[in-house]
Amino acid sequence: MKYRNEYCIRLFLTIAFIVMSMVAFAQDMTVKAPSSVFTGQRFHVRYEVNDRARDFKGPDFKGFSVLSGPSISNSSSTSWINGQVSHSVTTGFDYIIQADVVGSFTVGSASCTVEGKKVSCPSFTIKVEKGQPNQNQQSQQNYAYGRSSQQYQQQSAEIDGNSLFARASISKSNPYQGEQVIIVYKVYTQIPISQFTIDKLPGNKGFWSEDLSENQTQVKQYEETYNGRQYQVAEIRRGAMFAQESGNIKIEPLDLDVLAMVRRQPRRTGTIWDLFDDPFFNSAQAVEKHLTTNSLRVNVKPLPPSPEGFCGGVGSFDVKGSCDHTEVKANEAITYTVTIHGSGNIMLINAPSIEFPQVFEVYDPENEDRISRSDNGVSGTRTFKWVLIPRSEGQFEIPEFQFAYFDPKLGQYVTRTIPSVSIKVNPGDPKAMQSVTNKSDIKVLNSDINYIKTRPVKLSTLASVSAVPVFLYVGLGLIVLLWLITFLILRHLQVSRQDVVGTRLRRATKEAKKRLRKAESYLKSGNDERFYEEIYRAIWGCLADKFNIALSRLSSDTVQECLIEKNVDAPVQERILETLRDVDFARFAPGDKSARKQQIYEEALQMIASL
Amino acid sequence: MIKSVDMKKIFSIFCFLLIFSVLSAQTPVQQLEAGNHYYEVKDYASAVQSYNAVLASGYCSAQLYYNLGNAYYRQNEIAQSILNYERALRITPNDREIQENLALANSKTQDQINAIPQLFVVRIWKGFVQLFSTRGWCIVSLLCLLLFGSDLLLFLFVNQYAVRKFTFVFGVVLLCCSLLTGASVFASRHHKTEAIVMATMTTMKSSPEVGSIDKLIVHAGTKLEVEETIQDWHKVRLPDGNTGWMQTSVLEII
Repeated sequence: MKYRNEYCIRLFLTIAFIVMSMVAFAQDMTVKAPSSVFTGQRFHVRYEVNDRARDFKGPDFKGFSVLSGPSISNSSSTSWINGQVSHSVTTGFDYIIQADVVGSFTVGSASCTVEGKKVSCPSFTIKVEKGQPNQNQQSQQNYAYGRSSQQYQQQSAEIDGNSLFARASISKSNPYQGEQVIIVYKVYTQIPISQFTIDKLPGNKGFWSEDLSENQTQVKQYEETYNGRQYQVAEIRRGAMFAQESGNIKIEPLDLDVLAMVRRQPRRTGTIWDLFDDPFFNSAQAVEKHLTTNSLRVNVKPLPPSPEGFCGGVGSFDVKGSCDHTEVKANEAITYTVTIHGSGNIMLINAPSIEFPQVFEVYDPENEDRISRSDNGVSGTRTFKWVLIPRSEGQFEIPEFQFAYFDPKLGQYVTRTIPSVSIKVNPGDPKAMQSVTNKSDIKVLNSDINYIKTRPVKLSTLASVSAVPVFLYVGLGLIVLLWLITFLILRHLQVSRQDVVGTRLRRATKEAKKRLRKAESYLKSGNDERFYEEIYRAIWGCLADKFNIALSRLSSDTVQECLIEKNVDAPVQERILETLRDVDFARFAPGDKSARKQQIYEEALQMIASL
Repeated sequence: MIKSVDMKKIFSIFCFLLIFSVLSAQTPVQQLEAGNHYYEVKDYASAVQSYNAVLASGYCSAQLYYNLGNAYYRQNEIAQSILNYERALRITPNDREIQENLALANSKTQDQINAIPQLFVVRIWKGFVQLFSTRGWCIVSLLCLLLFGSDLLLFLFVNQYAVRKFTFVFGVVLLCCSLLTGASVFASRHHKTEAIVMATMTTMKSSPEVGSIDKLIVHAGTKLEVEETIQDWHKVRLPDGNTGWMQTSVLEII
């Protein structure tokens, strides 16, 4: 046990010491120097310590000529961020070195003392290549004005293709269809350039492109090593490209013109004018050079078969769905919003198809974009808004739906589900409801049915209602019957009117009686003459009518003839004749008439009755 | 002796029954009035009940069907209301209130069918026949006949030339009228077999089998003509000429 403990303690201390020693070297020294130079080229080597340093011991630059150094510089800075004060001090040691010989040289380590501790910087290698013959003739005076000697490579009017060219680079040469790739056009130069103009932009066939360098005010510049050489790089164009079709697509090169400031070779004429050739006076010549970038070949991979809910999004996204109201009255509008946020081809995403319940009248979605373009590409938010109007009341649900996008980093589709939203629709205002009908004919919409019939209250049996009423037949029969009767009567009347003889006969007795009544009245009134006249008429009239004798032929003889014809009994015959004689006699013969009047009257009566 | 005793018995029984029937149940007229009363106080369910009770006891009238149609309409049973309005119209086709209510109820149905227009003469005739109910036509035709009869008598028994001429012409006219009105009596009684769809939504099939192809969808309240009946299937024809088969359970014949 004891041994074990001791061993542990020892181990711990060893580790602690090592760590501490490493910590002690937290203050470290860095060196800045180019990794490859040309012969005759002058360059800086700079050592930096992030604290106050003393006793700097520099390396020996074997194979190089030390033109100056080390020069010590101090800088200190204080910054106050979020209430915290931080103070930093930097000490720098500068050398100006010139490379003479071709080869690969190791620069030894340097050291200094920081707060009593020794800090050192490891050794590094510099490769020296064969430079241009002209480079050797760089005068010292170039250096004297403190310019970075790297920039002055040429002195002739000719510009070497290796010292000034343009390049196009793409972030990914085999993207997925729709994946965002960044394409950058850079000008690599070792000589100063005053301006550039883009001559011909590459076509965008097969791509959707977004320019990311639009809003840049300053051209980005930095140093970059390419093919072992140091260049000053200017980024002239940066774009985000989204492939719209799969396959092998060639991006055309970009053409541009640059104005390079080339150092004129000083002509030493030996006169005073040489002074004017001095670089102190601006003796750089502007030379126009036409540059063409390389063309790029992109191999676009097609997307795998898409799942349900894929709306064309390639990249990385977040989706949210929401509704502005969850309780609404019928015929009032609500808005359903789907927000898609992320980076990728956000502006090429289509609206997801959502099956809204039938009760809603759906209007085509509007979309709103907020896209930001940065050096890393395109990102932002796209919002889809649907206006929905429910046409009847009830409880409804906007169903959950899927939104799928392809994530090129994962190489597969990602599906997000947007949860369903419940909407409660309350009954709408009656005024609004009236305009909705199923039929196109709305002529009688605003009227109501008529009231019930309260009078007359009558009922009939079911059978009788559908049959022809009985009274039709009854009525028919009655009418026919009535008509027949009337017809017969009228006919009879007509006929009998036409029968004169018959009429006369029928009327004979009546006539006689009428006359007798008259005679009676005369008898009573004592009008003898008249009495006899009437009697006479009555008897003769009756006889004439009964026997149908014309008045002109009327006489006793004719009467007698008729009587015999009619086989009237002899006594009756006698009586009639006697009555006739009596009447005549009474009429015309004088004498007492009053007694006989009554007798005659009765005789006449009897006679007429017997006829 | 025996005979008279029997007679007495029968008579007394008859009287008893008469009194009994009068006192016990409500008469149909009373039920009808009760129904009207329920309608007035907006108790439409009871009104429907009362009216249907009258119908069940074997009595009806245009007024009854109309009121029943109204009560159903108020309960939003549009198909039933249309059925009853149609029945009322068959009794009194010239009643404006029934026609208006039927038009309103029809506007609430879902099917809008483009009816084939009938021949002009057919339409004229139908319109003419609908001027009166059957009873009305009976009265009119009897009147016409009466007039014709008197005219004929005048013609036969009056000798004046002018009178004869007039009565002759008039008589011919009246004869035509009588014949026309007589025909109307029977025409007004004759109706095509028609039915109303009662089910909310149903299909017209191509043959009278449950599994046959559906030809059309029809909704409640649509009026159809029934051409034929086989077992429990009706062959129906829509106003636009389409025919099909429907089960008797989904229809109710007017």
